[in-house]
Amino acid sequence: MNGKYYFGKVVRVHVHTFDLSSVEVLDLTQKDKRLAGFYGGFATNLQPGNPFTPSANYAYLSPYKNMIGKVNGANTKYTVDGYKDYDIFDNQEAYGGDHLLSNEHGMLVRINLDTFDVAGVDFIDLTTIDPDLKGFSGGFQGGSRGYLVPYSKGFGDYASKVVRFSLLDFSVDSVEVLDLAQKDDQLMGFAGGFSYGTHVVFVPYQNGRQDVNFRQRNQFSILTRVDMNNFDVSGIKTMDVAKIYRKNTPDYPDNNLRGFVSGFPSGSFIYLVPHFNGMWHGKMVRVDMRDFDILSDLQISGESTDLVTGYKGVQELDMGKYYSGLVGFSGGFVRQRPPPVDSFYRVNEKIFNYATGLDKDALTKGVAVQNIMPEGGSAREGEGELDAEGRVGGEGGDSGGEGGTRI
Amino acid sequence: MHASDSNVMTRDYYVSDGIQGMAYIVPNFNGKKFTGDMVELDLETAKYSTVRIHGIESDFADFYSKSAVEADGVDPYVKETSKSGTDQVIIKRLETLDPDLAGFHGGFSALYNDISYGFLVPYFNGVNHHGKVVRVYCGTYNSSKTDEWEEGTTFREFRTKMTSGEFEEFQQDIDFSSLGEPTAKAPHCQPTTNKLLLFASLLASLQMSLT
Repeated sequence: MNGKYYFGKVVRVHVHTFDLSSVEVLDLTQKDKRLAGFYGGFATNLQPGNPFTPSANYAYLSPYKNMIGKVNGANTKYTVDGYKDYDIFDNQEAYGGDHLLSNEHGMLVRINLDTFDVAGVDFIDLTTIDPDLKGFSGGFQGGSRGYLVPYSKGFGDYASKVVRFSLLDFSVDSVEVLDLAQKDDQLMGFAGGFSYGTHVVFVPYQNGRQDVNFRQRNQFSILTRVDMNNFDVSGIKTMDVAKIYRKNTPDYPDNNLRGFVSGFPSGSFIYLVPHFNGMWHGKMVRVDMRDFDILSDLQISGESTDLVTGYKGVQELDMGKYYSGLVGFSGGFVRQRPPPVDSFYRVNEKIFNYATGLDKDALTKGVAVQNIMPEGGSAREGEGELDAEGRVGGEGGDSGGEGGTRI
Repeated sequence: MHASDSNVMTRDYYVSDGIQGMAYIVPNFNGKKFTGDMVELDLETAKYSTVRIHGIESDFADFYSKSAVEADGVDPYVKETSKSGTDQVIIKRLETLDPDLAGFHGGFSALYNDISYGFLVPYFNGVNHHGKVVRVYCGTYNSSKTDEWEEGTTFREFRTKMTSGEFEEFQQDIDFSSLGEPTAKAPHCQPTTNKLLLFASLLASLQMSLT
């Protein structure tokens, strides 16, 4: 949405020169007029030289929402009463009269970054797989797959189905779906996500469950983690951060720890970015992922989470107390650092050497290439394992975050 | 040998454990107005003082303080009371560069060789949907020293002029003004890859009104 309509022009600019000469624009609607209205995305981080890496660099856009009308169909600016250049705005249908409707969509787009042209644009309409696969709030890379974060299927209709797809085989056949609501019917309406080690994490924003949420709020607080190697209901684990005893003083649970938009990992921790919990808030939450399992298990079993684990558990820093204007954020990221000069590529080489004896051409699908973390991502040398089906093992970590773009 | 013949291949991961990192939190709307108050948040609490009360060691928290921005006496770590001599939360007021620099939607980080950048994605500043991308210089990693960063956070603004919803003209308006004092030393962090080109703005068309 650019103030006039939902649009499909992707902009890229050189990181370092950062000037007009490096700006490129790609209009996705030249490929298909339905390709407009996205919510973030990510560029892949599959290492050059890796025999499993595709021949091109790609970026992926997370499908979200655009407008549809009875005259001229998708992304029309034509109203039924004759206007042909109508300014589009969110929730327009609530005002009626023009027969224009919000259209959460499922057009997953892949862009060839090496060519960055219309010919290099591919897309999959996820709604052909399942009509619920639309309205995502960002995406990120986890190993050799991309993940889309379920947010909204329409006004007040929140989404719960996670999509993941192969970064090595961009096809309908590679798409897998996990309905988080099968685990808990409150698990819907997430805003942002990222990968952490062998898991993917979804950030709780609003699920509209006023019947169960604190003070009948729309926003919820259930941090949700899925095992990448067990992409199934049994691989889902949750932690309600608003009902956890914190490593703060006072330590009792804070019911206002809800309504986050985006998050990121750093070191042994993940961070949730505060947005709106019924009020614009600044309560940044830090979760020590070394405590995730024990706290989750205690919470699920109904036992107290008021215990000493030796780690940092859940903590809260309310930036709004520092300055009342530090509330209502929309994302965050951590500073990146370069790889160790002599070891990063050596490790990659080592990975490839481990594949010695394997038929390179036979390993065409499903092989996870561990993403590289921004500053503070978590991974443990020598403990990770990669099996022949591309599953990642160990405590390796990779990360995403709002926008998910890392290089 | 076919892939299916192999049960497990070992691979290596790098370790980055513990408490570390420098985060940048993207400003959007503070309940009163669309804002440009970006937060630079030091995640490495280990270098600050530790508070231990009733057996709870709290380090990512608000504390009673004598130096609040707003004098309610509750702050994160501030230089007056922490052993590090630095503030944990540093506010970068982007609107002092340009009043249009407010109401961003998300951001991301990137590397160019040893230089770390952050980018804020423009959206709606309360007046206009604008196209002013902000690049934050997050520091230069000094590879000759272990875990050392060149200091300083500066900003460079990139402006696209949009009229009638179309790109009609690009107008460059660059400001290298430093908005803040040098940031704290960053801790050890993780390796990342390096490509010259970043797919800078994936938000082809985003929807802001999440609430």
